Parts: sequence; structure tokens; C-alpha cells
Amino acid sequence: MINILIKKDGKKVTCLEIKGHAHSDEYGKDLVCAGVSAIITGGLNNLHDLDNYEILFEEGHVKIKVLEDISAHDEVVIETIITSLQTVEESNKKFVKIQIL
Amino acid sequence: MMFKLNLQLFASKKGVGSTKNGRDSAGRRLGAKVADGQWCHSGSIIYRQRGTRIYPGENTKIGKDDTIFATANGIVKYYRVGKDRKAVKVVVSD
Repeated sequence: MINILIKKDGKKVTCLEIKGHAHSDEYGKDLVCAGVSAIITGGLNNLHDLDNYEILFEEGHVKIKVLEDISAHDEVVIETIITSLQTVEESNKKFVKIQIL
Repeated sequence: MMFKLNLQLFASKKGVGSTKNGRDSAGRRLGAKVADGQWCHSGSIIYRQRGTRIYPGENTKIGKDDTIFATANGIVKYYRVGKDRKAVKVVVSD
């Protein structure tokens, strides 16, 4: 099960953490994991001001901590990441769980 | 691109582990040691088995590991007993 934790301060996202393993199939065929991995990696590569974040990016654990005010562009990118993850969760509740705090 | 895409970033590696199986004991060479119609010595082994697939008949005995052996010199004969049982005997020949 991939656990996704989203911390918000009002409407602003302050922290996005993705942890765990999908276990939807054996290594190399895990489609749920592939979806989540692609969303996260693509989103991170589209962030403009990387200095505004504290990013942990390792196998089975990604954490994006927002340090300062971010540009409107980056806000849209982060919202897109979250919406895409929710879309994956919707049809894979057994493998993905999102919590918004 | 800052972050390289690994499509199995959140996949468990368990599928790649080794299996705990893969062991087996050597074959026990069970079965008939003397065929039907063959001559055999007294004391020679006729049939190796686990449990009583074949029952002992005349001039034969069964060991504690269910091995059937001859108790007289003669010709080995396999035959049916009842609906679904088989037995073996030694027909003493002069």
C-alpha cells in the first residue's frame, strides 16, 4: 500500500509525502507503482524554484516540503500532482491511500 | 531533467527474491525387483514398496519396511486378490 500524506496550511500545500510499496504485482510489473512514480517524477521535474523545497527522493519514499512562498506556476504543478494521485487512488483503493491533514 | 524516472520507484522488491523451495530427496528405487514368471532364490527381495501396494502370498513374507521377499526357491507369480488388491507368491519348483 502506497500512503500519500498531504499537509495543508489553509489552501496552501506545505508538505507532500509518498511512502510505501503498491504490491499490486511483482517488481517490474507493478502498474500502480508505475503510475504513481511517473506522476511524482514528472511533477518534480516541472517545478521551477527547486530552492524553495526540501526534497527527499528515494526508492519507496518521496517527500516534498515547501519552505517558502512558491510561484503560481509551482502551485498549479503541485495541485496537478495531487489531482493525478487522487485519480490513481480512485481506481486502486487497495494499493493507494491519500490522507489530507 | 533533475529527477530520473524509475517506473518501479514504489514497487516492492519481494518479487525478485529467491525461492525457499528447490530441494528434493533422491529416488528410493521402489517397485518390482523380480518380474512375474522369473525364478528367484529363497530370501531374495521381490518387491520394494511403501505401504502394501502388493500383499505377500504363499512362500513370501513382508519386512518391517513393507519389502516383500521370497521364503522358498521358485517362480514368482503376481495375482489379484478380491476387487482391488494385488499379491505375489512363489510357486515352488522342484
